[in-house]
Amino acid sequence: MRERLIVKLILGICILSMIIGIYLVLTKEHGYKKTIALPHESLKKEGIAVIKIYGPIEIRERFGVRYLYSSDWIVKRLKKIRENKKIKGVVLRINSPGGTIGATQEIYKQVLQIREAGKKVVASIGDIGTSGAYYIACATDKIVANPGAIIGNIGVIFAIPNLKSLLDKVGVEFKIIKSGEYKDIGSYFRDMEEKERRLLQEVIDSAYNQFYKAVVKGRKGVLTENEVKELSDGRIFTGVQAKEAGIIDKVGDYEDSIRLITKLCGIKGKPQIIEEEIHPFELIFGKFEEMLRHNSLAYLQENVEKVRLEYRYRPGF
Amino acid sequence: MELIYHFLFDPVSSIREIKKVRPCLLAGSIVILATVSGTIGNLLVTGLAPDIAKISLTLGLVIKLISIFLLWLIFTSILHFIAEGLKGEGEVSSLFISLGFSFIPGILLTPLALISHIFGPLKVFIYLLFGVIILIWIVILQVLALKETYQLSYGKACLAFVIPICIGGISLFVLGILSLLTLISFIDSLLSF
Repeated sequence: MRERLIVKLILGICILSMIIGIYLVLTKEHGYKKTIALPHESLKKEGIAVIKIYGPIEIRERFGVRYLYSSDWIVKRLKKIRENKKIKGVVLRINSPGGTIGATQEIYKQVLQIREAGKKVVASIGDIGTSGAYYIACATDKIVANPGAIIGNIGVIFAIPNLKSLLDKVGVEFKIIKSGEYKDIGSYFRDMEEKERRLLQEVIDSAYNQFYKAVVKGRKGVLTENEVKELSDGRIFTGVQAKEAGIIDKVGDYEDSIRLITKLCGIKGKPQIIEEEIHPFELIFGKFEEMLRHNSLAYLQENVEKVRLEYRYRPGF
Repeated sequence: MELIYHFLFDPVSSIREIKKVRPCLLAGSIVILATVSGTIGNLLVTGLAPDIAKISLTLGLVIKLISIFLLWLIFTSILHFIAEGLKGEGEVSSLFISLGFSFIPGILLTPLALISHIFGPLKVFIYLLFGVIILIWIVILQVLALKETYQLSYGKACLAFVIPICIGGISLFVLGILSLLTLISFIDSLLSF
């Protein structure tokens, strides 16, 4: 009798623990919180968060696993920063040629909201901060870049391959049946008509105006609208040139950015720096998936089919 | 229930009882509970991303359960073969059920994982320590099961237990090297595309 009771008790505790365990694993981001979310509880003093914006800016997820540095992940992190009262400032560590417009604008909006919440934001450009990356930098309080970094390329690009000659050579023809005149606009398989070019140019101009306004707003007090217009022809600058032109605030490295943000936030002494940690499993899965993706036919097909507007520096075109 | 209690605290007499009663279903339930507990315990401590944890808890658990049942069967057969080779006499079904019962300590892994969280950053280390203790406990129970089922001496029982583990370990090592070489050449072929 006593033995039955003891066994029932032990089994009961174990089964209850399993139920609690399943709940924690499935709902609470248990343990994971410490690695990729900002550790709210562990902040003993005011801190500075560092968010990395590396590589092409785009919304991407694959196989249900977070894609390293995808824009929606950056946005999620920025939202948590906004809510954390202990975080006084943010450094956006940028090393990106830009990316898709939607993704860029989502991050841009989040940065503005962080500033509205009373926090300071500094952009620190490493090797490259062009196009969409610069768009995001314009949302910050100050932009710092290495003297040799590549900055600028303000503009929009929309690249469509024309395979007509190739298909003519191999004797392949596509018959398109469409519901509207512009349904197959940007088709790879024929020459672009003048009216299509005008329509696409309007689309580009609309996207460009949004970029232009963001730069005007971001560089208010430093550059006039006309000066911004002159510099927004897609040209690139080194960090030194960018400082002379007025499109960045300071030439300096990452450490200079940390010192600047500390000063802007009014933090005395050394602040606590919170950098994003990536779980080792994520790193392995992410890198392996990236490697497979970049060397597969599926990736080639995906990129050939990918027709979209980008705020991105593409020197190959 | 008394069988479970006695197996934990007086395994020798309960193994004799198992030979008579043959509670196969109970042994199977214990194996399932222990596997589930171990999986949940590991997920609680390793802190995987929720999306990966969900896959591990669903698909991973199914694969683990199938594997553990297969391993249980194969391990029993191998031990039976070796024990008979060492002049032991016993029934493979009794050994099969006793080995299933030996997984009882594994059921404690989830509560131990929750307890290890009290230790904060040391939780992984503490859980590993608990895990090692549980493993040793299970191994002792399995050696006892072998000894009592086949009427072997302690020495022979330990030898019979260790032989397949060593062979399995060496085979896994060789398999691992071969898999790694295959993976390297596969990745290499992808990169050169």
